[in-house]
Amino acid sequence: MSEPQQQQVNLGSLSLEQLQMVREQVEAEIQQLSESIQQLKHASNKYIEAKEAMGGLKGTDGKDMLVPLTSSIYLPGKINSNEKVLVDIGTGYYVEMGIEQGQNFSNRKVQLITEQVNKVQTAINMKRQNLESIVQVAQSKISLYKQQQAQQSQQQVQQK
Amino acid sequence: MSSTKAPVPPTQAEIQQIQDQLIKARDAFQVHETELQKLSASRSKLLTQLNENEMVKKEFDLLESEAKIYKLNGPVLFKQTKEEAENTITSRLDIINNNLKTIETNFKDIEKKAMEQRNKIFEYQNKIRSLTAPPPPQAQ
Repeated sequence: MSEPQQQQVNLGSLSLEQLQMVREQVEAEIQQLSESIQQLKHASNKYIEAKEAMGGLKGTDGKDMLVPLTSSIYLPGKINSNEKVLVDIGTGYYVEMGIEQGQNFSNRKVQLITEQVNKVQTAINMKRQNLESIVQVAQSKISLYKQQQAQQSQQQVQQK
Repeated sequence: MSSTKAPVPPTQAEIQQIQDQLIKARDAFQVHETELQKLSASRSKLLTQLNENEMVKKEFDLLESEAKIYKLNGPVLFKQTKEEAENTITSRLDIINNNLKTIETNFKDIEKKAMEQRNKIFEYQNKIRSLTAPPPPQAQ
């Protein structure tokens, strides 16, 4: 589906108040996108940890382990099988997978997230450029205003 | 020398009237903005769900037909066939896409109204600014 139409704004035609509004909007958008990147990286780390955990299962067939019942009570147990894991693939669905298959799943997720991070970073860079344009236009307007003020002052002096 | 007659300054009533119109336009704009934010939040949630379900669908496509699939209902995992699971996901995707279309239509409509109000605000602001600006120095 198409994104809502991005509004094109001719910065030169805006007043200083309007430029300030647009500037604040762009800054808010940058902040939001930055937070998105943090969340994506956090999710990516989870998948990496999961992959490492699955890797740690190899060669552990029949080994002793402790099963946590609560945060302070454990039961002794044995690993029955290290060939299968149950993977949460989203929206309440779980699939039984071999360890290699599960690790491939994690790899795919990390790759997808990396792609998204790159897209968001590109968007941030673009908005930062927009922000610089806004600041430049605002500054040139201020300079022009001061120039006009100075000229008016001179005219008034000459009239006296 | 005869002095040029100064332009008649706008009455206070005229300025007040424009300011009232400005306040109305600003309030209307705010209402539209609030509605857009709600639609934006709904759309965002639906897009997240759409993305999630599409990725689950892709994972199903990678599985062999005899894969053991479980569906979480509350705290319990129920076994499902691949076909059952795929049908469920497909239905969800259809519902989500329909909802997204509805939201997009509403969004464009209200966004247009908000833009109109915003333009009115700028118009009234400029009008007030020009009316309240100090008159140019008298030419002698």
